[in-house]
Amino acid sequence: MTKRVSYPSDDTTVSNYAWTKSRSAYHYDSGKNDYRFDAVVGLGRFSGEWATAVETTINNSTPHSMPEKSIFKYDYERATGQVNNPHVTFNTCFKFEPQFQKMIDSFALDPVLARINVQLTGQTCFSHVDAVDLYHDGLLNNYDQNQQKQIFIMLTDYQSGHFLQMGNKIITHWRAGDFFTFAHGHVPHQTANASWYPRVMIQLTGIETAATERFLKLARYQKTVPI
Amino acid sequence: MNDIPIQRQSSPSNDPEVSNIAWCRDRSSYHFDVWDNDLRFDTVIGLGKFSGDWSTEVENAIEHSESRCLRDRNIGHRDGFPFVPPAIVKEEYDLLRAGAPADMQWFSYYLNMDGPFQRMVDYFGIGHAQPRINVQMPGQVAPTHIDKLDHQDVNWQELGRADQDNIIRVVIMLTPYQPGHFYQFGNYNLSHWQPGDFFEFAWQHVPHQTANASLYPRASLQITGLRTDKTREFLKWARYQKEITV
Repeated sequence: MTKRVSYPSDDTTVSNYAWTKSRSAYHYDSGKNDYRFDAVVGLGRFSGEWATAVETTINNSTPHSMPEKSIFKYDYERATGQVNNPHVTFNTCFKFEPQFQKMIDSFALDPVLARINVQLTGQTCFSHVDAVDLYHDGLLNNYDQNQQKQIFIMLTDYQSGHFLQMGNKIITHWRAGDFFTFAHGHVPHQTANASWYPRVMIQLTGIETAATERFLKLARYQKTVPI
Repeated sequence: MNDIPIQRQSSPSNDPEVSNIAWCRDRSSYHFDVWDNDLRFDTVIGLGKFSGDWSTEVENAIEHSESRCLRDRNIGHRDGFPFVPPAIVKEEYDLLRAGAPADMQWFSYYLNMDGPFQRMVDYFGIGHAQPRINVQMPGQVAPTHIDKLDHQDVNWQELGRADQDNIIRVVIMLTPYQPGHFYQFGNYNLSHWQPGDFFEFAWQHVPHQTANASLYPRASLQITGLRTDKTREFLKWARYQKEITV
């Protein structure tokens, strides 16, 4: 059993947090502000009506627990002192309503891993840095890190208590349809929902293509991209 | 109430008969608009800063704190209330309606006021003081709520009779801020505190919420009670000291 400790481990052989930190360029100083990292990069805004589709998605979503791999469990058990607790970070849904499939297709990432994250009241996703090279048996492995994109498309409006933080920057006041990216391979990020409203977003991880670049250029200078 | 399954809904109830958040909202002057910024409410009021070393005591408090859910979070409820108070039934309704479990863990409590903590409490001279250390462990979440200090507990009836300006809740941070320590008052996200910072806020009006998504516990000392002349003198003095040694 891992003993509870009031700070995370530095041992890269047992701790996912330590391992991802060791290969990150982030400063890990809560008093600093690095514009490359303590930020998100806004990319554009979809417009349209998807309130019903969001409700369907929430109802179809199922709990997503921490990965069973011991390297993740170690950090959790060390921080909480709880063993074998199926901590739910958020719910996920892989069935995409037509509006959401259209949004996903707009980005033309290839290959792409898409999912919808529904964070319900009380769910928390601990500080972590994405290890995209471990996803799907290394599907996104042999690409330059600048080509590896992670894009969040917010599907519900911000509510107080929707906590979303990249590095030292707490992101607030988004509108449904806003989408952005960030340095996911370097920046520790964490989320929680302490509101009475679900927070729903599409998470895309994939490789940028020429069509992606064209879409992002279009999106940057449009007031909105209609769906 | 729990015999009938409560259907998850994507917004909180407006019915004060069944919902705690609706009941609290009814008696609050807060604007409840995420796009607004009211300087009375979307903020905390900094009061001062303690200095000293309480790292050993805080580690002990964290280690011995007990995890609490709604039903046993108030002092005394754990030790055999014969029934679940109606206010808690309403709070559990809000959780179930939001899709959260009724036994969700909000905080871990530690009630022993070890050396430096008792000295901090004594400085304030708060009447009918109810101090406790709130440890929010990684993964614990306190969803949006408004305090009902005047309704809190049978032991706190003095507070129920007091003017709201005379009921004080002071929060003293005991551990440094870490990213993932989420602490929000209305639309204001409090961050980057140092151990020893203390503040108050408009407890009866401002919805507030906290969560810990970091890998570090967050500990604070919360003192609730009645403002006395000693409290007023101390707060006036504290405001103009660089720090107060504990």
